[in-house]
Amino acid sequence: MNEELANRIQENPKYKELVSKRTKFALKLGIFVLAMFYTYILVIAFNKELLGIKLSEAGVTTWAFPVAAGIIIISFITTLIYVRRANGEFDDLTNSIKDDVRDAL
Amino acid sequence: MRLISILGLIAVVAFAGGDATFEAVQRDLNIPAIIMFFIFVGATLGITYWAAKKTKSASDFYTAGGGISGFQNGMAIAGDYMSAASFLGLSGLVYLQGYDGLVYAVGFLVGWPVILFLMAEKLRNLGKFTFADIAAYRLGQKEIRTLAALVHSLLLYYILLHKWLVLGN
Repeated sequence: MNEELANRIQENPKYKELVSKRTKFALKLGIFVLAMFYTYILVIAFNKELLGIKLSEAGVTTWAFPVAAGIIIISFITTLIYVRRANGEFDDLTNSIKDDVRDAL
Repeated sequence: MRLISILGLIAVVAFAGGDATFEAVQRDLNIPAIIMFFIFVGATLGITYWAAKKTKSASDFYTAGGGISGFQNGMAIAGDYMSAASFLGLSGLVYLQGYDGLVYAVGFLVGWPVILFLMAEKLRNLGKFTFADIAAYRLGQKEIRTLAALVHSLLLYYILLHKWLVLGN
C-alpha cells in the first residue's frame, strides 16, 4: 500500500465514521458480555445461596442452571447481532470507501 | 512441542506431589487399549502428513484456500468444541459435581464473542489469519513469534488442566 492511498483512505469521512462506529459497537457488546459473565462469577463467589435456590419445591434443579444456560444463549445472540451488523452496515461502508479511492490505485 | 511436554511433566509432578491421599492402584497392562492408542495416533499423524503435502500457502492451511462456506466453517468450529473438552472434561465435571460443573462451560464459551468483537474484523481486513501474524506484521517478526509461542504453550497448559483433573480422578 502506498503512502498516498493510505492518506486518502484516512482522510475519507466515511472511514472515520466506520472506525468510530465499529469501535464503539464492539466495545459496547464486549463490555456487556464481560459484565454479564463476571456478575455471574461474582455471585457464585460471594452469594452462592442466591443461585442455589431451587426452581420448584419438588425438583432438584436450582436457579444456577437456567442462569448459566441463559448466559450461553445471550452470548450466541450478541454474536448474531454483531455478525449481522458487520456483514451489513460495516461491509457496505468498507465497500463504498474502496469505491471512493479506486482511482488512486 | 518440547516446551509442552516439559509443562506436561511439571503438571504430572505437581499433581503427584500435591495429592497426598492418592492411592496408587496397580492395574494390569491393557494391551488392546495401548494398541488402539497407537493405531489412532498413527492414523492422525498419517492424515496430517497427507494433508500437509497438499497445502502450499497460508491461505490453504488456515482456510482451505477460501473454499469453505461460512456454514461449513461453523460446523468445523463446533466440531472442535464438541471434542474431549466438552465430552470428557465437562461431562465429567458435571457428573462429579452436579450443576457446579456448568460454570466451566460458561467460562470457556463467553470468551469467544469477546474475541469476535475485538479481533475478527481486524484479522480479516489485514488478510492475516492469527493474532501473531498481525503483531509480527507491525512489530518485530522474531520477538513476537517467540512471545506468541510461549504464551500459547502456557494457555494450552491451562486448557489441558481441567481434562487432566477429571481424567486423573
